[in-house]
Amino acid sequence: MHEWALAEAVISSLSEITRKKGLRKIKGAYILLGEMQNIDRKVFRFAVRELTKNKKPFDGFTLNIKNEKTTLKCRSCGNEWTFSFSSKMPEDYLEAIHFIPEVSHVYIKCPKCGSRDFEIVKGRGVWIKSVKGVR
Amino acid sequence: MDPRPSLIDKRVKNVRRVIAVAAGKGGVGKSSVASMLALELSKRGYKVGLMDLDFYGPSAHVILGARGIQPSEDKGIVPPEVSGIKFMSIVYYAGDSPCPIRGIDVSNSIIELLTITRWGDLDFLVLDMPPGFGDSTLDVIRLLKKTEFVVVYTPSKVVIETVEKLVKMLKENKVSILGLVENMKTRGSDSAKRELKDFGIPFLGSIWLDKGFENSTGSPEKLLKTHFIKDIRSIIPKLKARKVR
Repeated sequence: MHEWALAEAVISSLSEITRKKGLRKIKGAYILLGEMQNIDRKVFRFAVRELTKNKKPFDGFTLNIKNEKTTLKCRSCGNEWTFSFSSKMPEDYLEAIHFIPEVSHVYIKCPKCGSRDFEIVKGRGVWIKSVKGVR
Repeated sequence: MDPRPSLIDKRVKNVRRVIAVAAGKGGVGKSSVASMLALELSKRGYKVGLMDLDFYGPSAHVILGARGIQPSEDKGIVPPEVSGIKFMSIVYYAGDSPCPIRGIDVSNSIIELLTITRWGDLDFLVLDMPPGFGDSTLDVIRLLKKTEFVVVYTPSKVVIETVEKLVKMLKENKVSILGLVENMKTRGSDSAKRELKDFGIPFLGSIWLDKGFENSTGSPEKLLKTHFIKDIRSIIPKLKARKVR
């Protein structure tokens, strides 16, 4: 239920936006879920539903979720490649990356030159792309 | 927009005090001081958490003998306990392997850990800081506003200059500094202490070089019988007086 914590962060962030922008209502949000973190969408949605229950500004709130493919770029040779959670990797490595995507540097090397010095260009974790609200 | 930082304040809402044990230099004994401080506070009945933020050279788990444990999952992650201390470290996820990450990745790891770790009610959360005052220190200052710093130094000219830089940086950022701790004290090493007097930071105490410490590493029971812990005991009462900015 690590997804719950990330859902909590999204709702906390949206509540903050509501306050700062003086919104009466928050109609919806567009969320990117980076594939690297392999967030369980169903659990994430369930958590968001539970966390917004009976909260007035979130009345009628809709969540639009899009998965974002993970792109990694080697700083050493410039090679770019995609990481997929279905990669043939031991379960405990994948679980570690699920919690802290940056530990991927322990378990992943550039397929071209073998360097661990790579950049997570996109598709790391949870990101709020846009928010719809009513003033 | 990154939603995670907005949750961090709530995660430490029920943590009474956050104490970061820092130093400009490596090898001055930050991890030993942080671990022993957490150990003694826990022994005194306080609710204590310890977070190792040194991603390149985590060592609090070695000092406390925290092996074969993992956090549990419950609406986030709940740190396992070692001698009554809720203990969090990157080693749960990186194991014994090197974790070669750059600044942005260090920041992301800290933010992630602070977002998902559920400390619950704590009297003290002790942070074992990495050497220097780069990304980790800046993130702690930015994200954990209630943090108070304890600056560790060893009586060496090589160390003093860097300690001065760290203290200046903390002061510029209007961060609370509880005071200075001298570690690995030997006879006739008072010149550093005199030099640091000009900083205007309280002196919390000295920890004598303890040759028995190494053999006690990995065993909290043995650590609680060292000379090191006796010196920590005399420092703890001084932590109560909060020096504000």
